[in-house]
Amino acid sequence: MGIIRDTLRDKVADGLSACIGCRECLRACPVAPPGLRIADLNHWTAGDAPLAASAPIPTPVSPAPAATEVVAVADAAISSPAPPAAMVARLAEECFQCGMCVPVCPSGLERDAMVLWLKSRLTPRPAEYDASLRRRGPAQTVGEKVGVTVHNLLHRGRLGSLSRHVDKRSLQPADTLFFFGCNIFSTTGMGEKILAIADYLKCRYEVLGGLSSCCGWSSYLSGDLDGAGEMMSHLAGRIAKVAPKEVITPGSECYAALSRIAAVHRTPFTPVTVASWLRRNLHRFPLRHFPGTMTFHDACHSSRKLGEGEEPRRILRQLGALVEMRRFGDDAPCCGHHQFGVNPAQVEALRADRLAMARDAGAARMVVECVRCQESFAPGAEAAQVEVLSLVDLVYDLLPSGDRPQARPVHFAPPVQKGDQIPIEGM
Amino acid sequence: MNYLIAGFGPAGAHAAAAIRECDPHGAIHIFSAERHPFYFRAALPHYALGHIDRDGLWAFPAGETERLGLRHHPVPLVAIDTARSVARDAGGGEHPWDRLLIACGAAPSAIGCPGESASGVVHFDTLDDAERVRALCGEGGGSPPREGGGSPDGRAIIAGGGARALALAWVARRLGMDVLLLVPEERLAASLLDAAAAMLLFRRLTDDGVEVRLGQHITGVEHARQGGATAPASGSIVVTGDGRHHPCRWLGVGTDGAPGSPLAVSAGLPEGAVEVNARLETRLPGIYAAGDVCSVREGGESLRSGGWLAAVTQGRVAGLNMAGGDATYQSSHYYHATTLYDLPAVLIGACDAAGDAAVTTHPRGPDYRRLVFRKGALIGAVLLGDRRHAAVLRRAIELQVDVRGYELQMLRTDVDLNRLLRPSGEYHLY
Ligand SMILES: Cc1cc2nc3c(=O)[nH]c(=O)nc-3n(C[C@H](O)[C@H](O)[C@H](O)COP(=O)(O)OP(=O)(O)OC[C@H]3O[C@@H](n4cnc5c(N)ncnc54)[C@H](O)[C@@H]3O)c2cc1C
Ligand code: SF4
Ligand code: SF4
Repeated sequence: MGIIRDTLRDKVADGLSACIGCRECLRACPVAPPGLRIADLNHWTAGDAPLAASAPIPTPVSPAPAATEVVAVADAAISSPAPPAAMVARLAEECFQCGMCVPVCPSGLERDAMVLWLKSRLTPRPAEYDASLRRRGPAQTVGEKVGVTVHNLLHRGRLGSLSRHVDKRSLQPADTLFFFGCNIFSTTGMGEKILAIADYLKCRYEVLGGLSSCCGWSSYLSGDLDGAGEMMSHLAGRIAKVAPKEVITPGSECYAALSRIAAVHRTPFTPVTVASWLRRNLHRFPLRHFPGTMTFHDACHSSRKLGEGEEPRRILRQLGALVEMRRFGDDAPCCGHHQFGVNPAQVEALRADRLAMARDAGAARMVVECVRCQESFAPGAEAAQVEVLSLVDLVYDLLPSGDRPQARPVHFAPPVQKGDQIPIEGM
Repeated sequence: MNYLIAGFGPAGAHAAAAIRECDPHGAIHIFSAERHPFYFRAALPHYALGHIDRDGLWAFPAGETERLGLRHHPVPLVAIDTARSVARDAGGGEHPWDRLLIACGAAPSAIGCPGESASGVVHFDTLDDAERVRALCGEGGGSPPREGGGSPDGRAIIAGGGARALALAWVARRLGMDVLLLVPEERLAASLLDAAAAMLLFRRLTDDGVEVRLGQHITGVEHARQGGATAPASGSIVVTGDGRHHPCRWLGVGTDGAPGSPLAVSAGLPEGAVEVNARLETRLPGIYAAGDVCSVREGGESLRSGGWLAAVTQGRVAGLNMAGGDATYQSSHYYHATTLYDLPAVLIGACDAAGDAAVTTHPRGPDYRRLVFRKGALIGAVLLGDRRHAAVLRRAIELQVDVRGYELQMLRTDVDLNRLLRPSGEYHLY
């Protein structure tokens, strides 16, 4: 699907000529090398030529400073300005496509897209990207197919009733399709809870999940534009088999991918965030107030980039006391998931900082919408003395106990390790 | 081939790069009235605020002038002799040309009253101006306005109501000055915004503590009388048409410069904006014009132009044509993004055309947008405050997407326009 690549190329060309060089994008960016000049960045962004991956990334001084601006980490890491090309390559590798650079641009440009274009030209690609994305999408080689089958078998026990939906061949037509993609393997247990809620609502639905029906957005965000295009085409075909009116997803980036698929393939379904679906049905649950204050962490790809931040807040206002963190909405930082473990110390500092913001806001709970945000923040929750849970967890908790088949406690992965960013075991 | 370019702004710089793409051997001489290399002029407010350092302001990547083989002469050209194909610089040097580009930007801003050139009067056109503004603001010293105004020592008066004056007001306010904005017109940003959007902008300024007086003409600038009760310790007294005297630390002239240049007149072109066709050719053979200095005419009509992107695109088109190419500038692709005080504003396409339908958001809201349609397609848009979707709207205009039935929904910022419009054809809106 060349359209993904072509569209990005056009967008980048438009952006480069309209850029007035104010540097507001890089000031907002949590990972931009401080000495990087816009003129150099734009120069390297223009064109199609491969971009040599940078020399080893300097590791920040330890311990990683918690509860401070992550920019400070970058400052410490660079003692003398590196050559422009190295700084550009470093930004391309470490950028996690959070989009913080977009709302601050006075010219209405999308620096995230420009950096994505750079990412797509990195040679070699950071090994961490490929390790994280291995085997996603329609498996191509026999070896990969075997790998996927083994992976699925290994996880069958943990997934319980959800396992029957993993990479299933036959799909039935339904008005509602729950799309989990590879998040079906999430250690948050979100998928099972969503289906329990759907059963409680007596909703007729189909489920699509598994590595082979990955939405491709992770690949897109890693700069593998052609791979992402193929995955999206494949997924569009799978969705067409169900012919749903709406496709509901708990993944922020899956939502972005579904929106793109709906637009590019002109398929007639409407992508829906799990928050919108829950909010629409909230009156059908036995509502109660949760004690203590809650705060909400905006997910980059649905809340911030696609303007879906109000629906989760409407739910939270009905279920308890909502306080905002120092940075929220357009200014909310990213959980760092899509750095794919390239610079773990930087991402750890960012997450610690975010949890500290929740604590400083006086919130006992930080509620997230996206399954990836939950996986990112949960490991640090205990140390930060903030409970991290999802909107789905909250609503699931409202169900009468007989309607809650999943008694198993939520099990989270250990803190992020280099090259092991995404907690899908066996990947 | 000898190429002469008057102006090292975006129009001149991008013309030079385009010439080099087509002509690897021609001599390219680029002249400027400033001693600096090509810099991001539109980022001057950010520079004055300290958001970007001097090194970060240079707009060419390291080594680009050498790579392109440009000769930069930091001296203005003052006359063009078309009979001899020679241009004269301010030092008397003569330079022969085969192709010449006039890209010297809009004329510097001026109010045209006695005392305007006194010390304590500052403009906001160049890098040197921005450094002066920063120095004049010093520690600020302003206070939230109170009845009768704050201390004159902490006050800046700014003349003008357009983009430049508003940028200057924003910088001065952020650097701690009390600001009095004297606007000659009856509304703010009169050449850019309609009345509803201008009112929103007015509210934003006054909410931020800027005193705005509309319909005020400055008739004179006097040196402050030292030590008087109402005069600043040093600075100026600004006299307005109604006979009132306004003391201040400094006066900022932010009236937007008019297109046109004495250099063009010296060649025999009429006063005012240098008229060019879509190939950026003036009516004189071998002489082109691009950027803020010019006005593009299509079908007998002068089209809206100006701003950074127009200068970049026009410079490129002019450069390609100067080197023997065949490129045209498409005015329908007009996209001017700027910041009015601290509100982002984007003007796209034929934003001030009447169209056959237009929709606007409620002018009482925090943001404003106006979309203009003709024959079922979007032809222009004005966004103030929230600039989301600017790129998609720009694309929808360029591709003439049929948006019938979606006009009102397109005003919303919380919908995915890509999905909403599901553009037909083999393209995607971003
Ligand atoms: C404070 C400020 C903020 C702005 N903000 C924005 C914004 O947010 N968005 C936007 O789109 N635009 C903005 N602009 C406008 C934008 O900078 C201009 O539209 C753009 O720079 C025009 O480019 P140009 O190449 O036509 O001329 P300029 O950039 O004005 O360059 C003119 C060049 O010509 C030289 N010159 C002048 N006279 C002569 C001569 N006789 N001989 C030789 N050289 C000469 C000058 O030294 C200079 O190098 C802003 C401008 C200012 C001053
Ligand atoms: S998307 Fe995020 S990490 Fe990437 S350049 Fe923008 S702000 Fe920086
Ligand atoms: S914020 Fe926008 S205009 Fe400013 S440097 Fe970044 S991309 Fe360019």
